[in-house]
Amino acid sequence: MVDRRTLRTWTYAAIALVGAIPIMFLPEIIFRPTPPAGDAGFTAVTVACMAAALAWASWFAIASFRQSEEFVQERSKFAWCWGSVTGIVIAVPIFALIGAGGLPWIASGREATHAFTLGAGLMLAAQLAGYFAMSAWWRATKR
Amino acid sequence: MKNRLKVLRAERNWSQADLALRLDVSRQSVNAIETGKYDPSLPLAFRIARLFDAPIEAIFEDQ
Repeated sequence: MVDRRTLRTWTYAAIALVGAIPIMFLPEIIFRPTPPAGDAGFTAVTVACMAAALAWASWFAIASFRQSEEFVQERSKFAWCWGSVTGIVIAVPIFALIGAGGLPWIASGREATHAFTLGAGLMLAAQLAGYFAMSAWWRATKR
Repeated sequence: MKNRLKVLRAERNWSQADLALRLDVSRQSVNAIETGKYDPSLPLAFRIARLFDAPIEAIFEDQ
C-alpha cells in the first residue's frame, strides 16, 4: 500500500514530466512545417518554450523533493551526486573517442565530430559551473 | 551508529509500520535506522527521542 506522502511525491514528479514534454515540443506544433535552421522566430520560440518547460519541471520537481521524507531526500542527493560523477567519469573517455572520430557510426566527418565535441563539452562545462556555483553559495551562506 | 530503536519499539509492541506512522516517515526509513544502515538527521533523532520520552544519547550510541 502506497502512503499518501509517497503518492504526493510521485504525483508531483509525474506532473513535472508530463507537463514539461508538451511545452518542449510546442514550437514543432506552432511552426509546421519546421522552418530551416537559423530561423529567428523558430529559435526564439524554441528557447522560450525550453525555458518554460524547465521552469515547470523544476517547480514540480522541487515540490516533489520537499514532499518526500528525509530518507528519500538523502537517497536522491546521494544518487544524483555519485551517480552523476560516475556517469561523467565513464563519459569522458567515450566523449574523447567520439570527438577524435573513433566511432564513425555515431559521428562521422569533421563537422559532426566537432558538433559532438561542442555539445558534450558544453554539458560538462555547465555541470562544472553548477558545481562551483553551489560550492560558493554553500561557503558563503553556511559559515 | 548503534541504536536501541528495535528494543524500544518491541517494548511497546509496535511494528515498524506503527513506528513509521508515529514518526511520519516510511517503514523503510525505520528499518534502515534500526539496522544501522542510515543515521537519522538531528530533527528526526529529536522526534524519536520525544516519542520514546528518552534523551537522544539513551537511544543512539556513537560507535
